[in-house]
Amino acid sequence: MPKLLHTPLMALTNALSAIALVGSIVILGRQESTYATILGFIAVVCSTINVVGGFLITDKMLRMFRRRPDPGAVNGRRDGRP
Amino acid sequence: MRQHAIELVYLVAAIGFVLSLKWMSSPPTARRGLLAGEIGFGLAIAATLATPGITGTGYAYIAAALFIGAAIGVPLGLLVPMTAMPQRIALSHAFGALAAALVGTTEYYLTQPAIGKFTMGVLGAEILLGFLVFTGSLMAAGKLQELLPQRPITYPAQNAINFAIFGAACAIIIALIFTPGSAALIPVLIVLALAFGVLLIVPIGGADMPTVIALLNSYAGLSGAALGFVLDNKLLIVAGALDGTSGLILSIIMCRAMNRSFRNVLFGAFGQLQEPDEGVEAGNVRSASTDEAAELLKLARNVVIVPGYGMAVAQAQHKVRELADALAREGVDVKFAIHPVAGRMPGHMNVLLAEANVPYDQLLDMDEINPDFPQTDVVLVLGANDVVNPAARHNRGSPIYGMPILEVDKAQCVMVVKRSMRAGFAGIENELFYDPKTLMVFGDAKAVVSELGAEVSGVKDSIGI
Repeated sequence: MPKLLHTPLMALTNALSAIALVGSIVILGRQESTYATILGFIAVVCSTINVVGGFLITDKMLRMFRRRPDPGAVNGRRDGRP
Repeated sequence: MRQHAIELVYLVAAIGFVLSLKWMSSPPTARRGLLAGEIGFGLAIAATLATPGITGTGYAYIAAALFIGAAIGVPLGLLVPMTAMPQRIALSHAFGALAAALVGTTEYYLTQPAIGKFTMGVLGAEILLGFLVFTGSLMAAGKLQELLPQRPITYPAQNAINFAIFGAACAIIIALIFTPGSAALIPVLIVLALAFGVLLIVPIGGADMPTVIALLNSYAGLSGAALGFVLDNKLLIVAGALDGTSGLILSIIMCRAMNRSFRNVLFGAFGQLQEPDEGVEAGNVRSASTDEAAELLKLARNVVIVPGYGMAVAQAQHKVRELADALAREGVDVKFAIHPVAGRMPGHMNVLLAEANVPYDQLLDMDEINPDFPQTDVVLVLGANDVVNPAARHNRGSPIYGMPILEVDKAQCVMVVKRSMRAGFAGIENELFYDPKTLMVFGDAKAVVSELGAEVSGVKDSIGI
């Protein structure tokens, strides 16, 4: 696991673990009690924040990572070594 | 029939999640990994909406909640600057854990007292973990945002109090396993979990944050997996397990990078690095002006820049990139050396430098760069301290003894940009500063680096410094 991707990995697993959304949707949708509806509503909102935010931020970070424009150039990473 | 179809879609989604993490572990395939995760998630939501039993008003509520969540999530994803990423990540752990904990609590009230022993045990653990991670992550975010003091707060019998709370919570869970109908115990469990989360993070100092963030990530995943067992939802189990293990692996990497035992971290004995140290004799310090430093940098064949939390605080990453570019134009080979625990979360420096458009193949890990230091002309240390302290290698009395460091003292010349001679976060004197080949350049990281950049590109006069 390259250290470069540690933060994007955390953001991604965060989005994925928001799959608790699946459970919250069922609880909110079935309307079994007022209590369940209120808690389910909060849970769906929280999970959705994580899913949407998590995927967007992972995308934003990955977009920033780029290689050097001319990888074969003289200043390439391991070039110039004896 | 419909239930089988839903299960099948969940299975496909789970495969998508596994592929997503697999592809995420290498830069060229990372974007594909993100896409696999998104597709899996979309499928899972679609299948869930087709679950039998959801009422008409239910759909209306779901749509409203999804809309509100998205309305908050989109700005959180797009507008938060990279410098605020550690607290952003901590905050999202808090949201995720709260959601899981609320679902678990609701599930308890809907199904009690007819809950099996195994399910009740898992459910209890899930509620404990979920609420604990909720307040713990909020505390971490508060510390990172500097709303709360960053230094560790300790008080007598801290560990004893924490263990007592944890013990009481476990006792409640055991009681619930045998009498699942005692619903009055649940609020007590929740309060204990919330308090435990706060107390666990109180003694944590900023330097330990990368480990703690990774650990909270892991706990959030575990609570999700536990919820999966309770709801008998395999997709949740898979996603939670993936999150839990990847967080666990990250925390182990962080622990190794600090030479801390995992037990030490798991039981909340953080902040123990902050013991005062008397081992180092204060010697003579050589300091240099930015003019002199810039001359040296220009004369070097190769320069290694070592960024630390100081660079993040000063938001100097863009100026650092300008300096690196200016040096490259002068024919100097510039690389960056990244210590695994530099900054406040795993990968913090990589993200900041990427934001400043530094190509990632210019960033080298500790193991890659350490053999290169003896052939390095100049090392520029920017706001890093403990991760370059040679005491870690030879001073048995030092609190950081044994921690792997960037061996910058083996380079021909070391320049340290620092505000003053104050000790680093861990409160340890750094003998590197007294090394005869070390030059201290005093000042704010951003100001010093932008002056250096201007000097190197020879435009000093034109911008009137």
